Amino acid sequence: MEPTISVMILGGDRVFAEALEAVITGTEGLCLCTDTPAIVLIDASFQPAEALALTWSARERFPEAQIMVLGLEREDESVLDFIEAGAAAYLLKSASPAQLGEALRFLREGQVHSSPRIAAAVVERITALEKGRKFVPPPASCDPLTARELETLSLMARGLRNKEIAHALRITVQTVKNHVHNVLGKLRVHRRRDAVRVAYELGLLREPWGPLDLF
Amino acid sequence: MEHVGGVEVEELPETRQGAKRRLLSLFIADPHQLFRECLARALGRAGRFDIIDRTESGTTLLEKFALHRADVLVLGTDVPDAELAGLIRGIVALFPAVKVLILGRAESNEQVVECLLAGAGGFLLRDRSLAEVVSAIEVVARGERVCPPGAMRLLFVRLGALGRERKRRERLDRLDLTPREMEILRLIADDLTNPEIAARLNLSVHTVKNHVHRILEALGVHSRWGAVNHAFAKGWLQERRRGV
Repeated sequence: MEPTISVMILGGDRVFAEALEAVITGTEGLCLCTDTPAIVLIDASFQPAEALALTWSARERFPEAQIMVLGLEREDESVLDFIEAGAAAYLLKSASPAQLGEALRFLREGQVHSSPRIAAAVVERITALEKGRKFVPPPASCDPLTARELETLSLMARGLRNKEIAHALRITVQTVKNHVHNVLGKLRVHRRRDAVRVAYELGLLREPWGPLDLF
Repeated sequence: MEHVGGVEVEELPETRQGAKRRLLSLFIADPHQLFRECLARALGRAGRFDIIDRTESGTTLLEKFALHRADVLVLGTDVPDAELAGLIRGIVALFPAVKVLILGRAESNEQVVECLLAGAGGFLLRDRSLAEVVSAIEVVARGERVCPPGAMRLLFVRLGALGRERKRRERLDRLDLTPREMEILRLIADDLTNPEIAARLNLSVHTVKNHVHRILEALGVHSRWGAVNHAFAKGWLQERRRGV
């Protein structure tokens, strides 16, 4: 027997969510789940913008889950926005409950059935995004920073000037300048802003936003 | 209903449709001669295609195709999947208008994805029916793409990864400005002058000028107007505010 697929429902109208819950509870092989879902269903039928934001955050909250967006109007560019946001599959408003069950089973088998039009649009967008990538070879590593340099760097990231950093660390401006100079050298950049950017890339600094703070 | 000289001509609309839907020209390439010939004959019988030529799918393919260009190239192949993407890139570079439909075995979904990204109009597994080949040819001729469900899943995953990368880059772009500079940019967008900004933030005009200078430099623009436009284009600022 196939293992049960745990499903979580996010967003959308209460009555739709409850109807959906009833269908899922009543379907063999599916169950509702509130903490570690295998599938997250997001209803996008009435508030697509909110649903899109929800998709971005669901992807961070449930990295193991596959997201399926329900209730899209038609197969157009908006579908691509949801896929970019992390949706693994989608269903249109016109789909039936049976199609939902089918799509869930396909997803478990690693399959997505979509139209040739969407396939073309996806290929096109992938190509465009890959071309548009600014090629900035991220440094794989850098010379290790001293604790003091790291402190200086984190204050730089907050936009502090040398004088302010000096004040915060109780050291002279000249010492700060030395630290900044060393940091730029070790990260092989010329500007403070680039140093901060590279520091995030390398994970030297934690990016100043939580997983849910995407917008 | 069409009337021509008082006579009802019922077949006219159909004829028109037929004229509009001119036959698609096909070029069939496959190393397996018997299969190639049978496929050509069967597709020819469908009545929607004009089989221009057929050949092996080896090195002579490009030369032959140059002589008889077709709308759709049906490419059956014994080229290892790994080399297939390169071959497609070559075809598409030389003949940008042609749509390539691959009849392949697909050792892996990854390779199907590579072929599609290389420019193939579609990838059909060889265990599909002849009817499916016929409709796939029409789909790729329209500029859409035929993609098996397993590879479709990977395409979605790939786009998702690129989407996340784009989102992250946008957030990092925002770091080009310090919080203070962002605040000043907001006020510039509100049409405040430097002295007004200075008064609002309790700074000297000189300091504000320095900040503005650094903002322009960081964004690579030459005017306050350019900076404001940049901020709107990036979505850092949402709306124009008046009378603040």
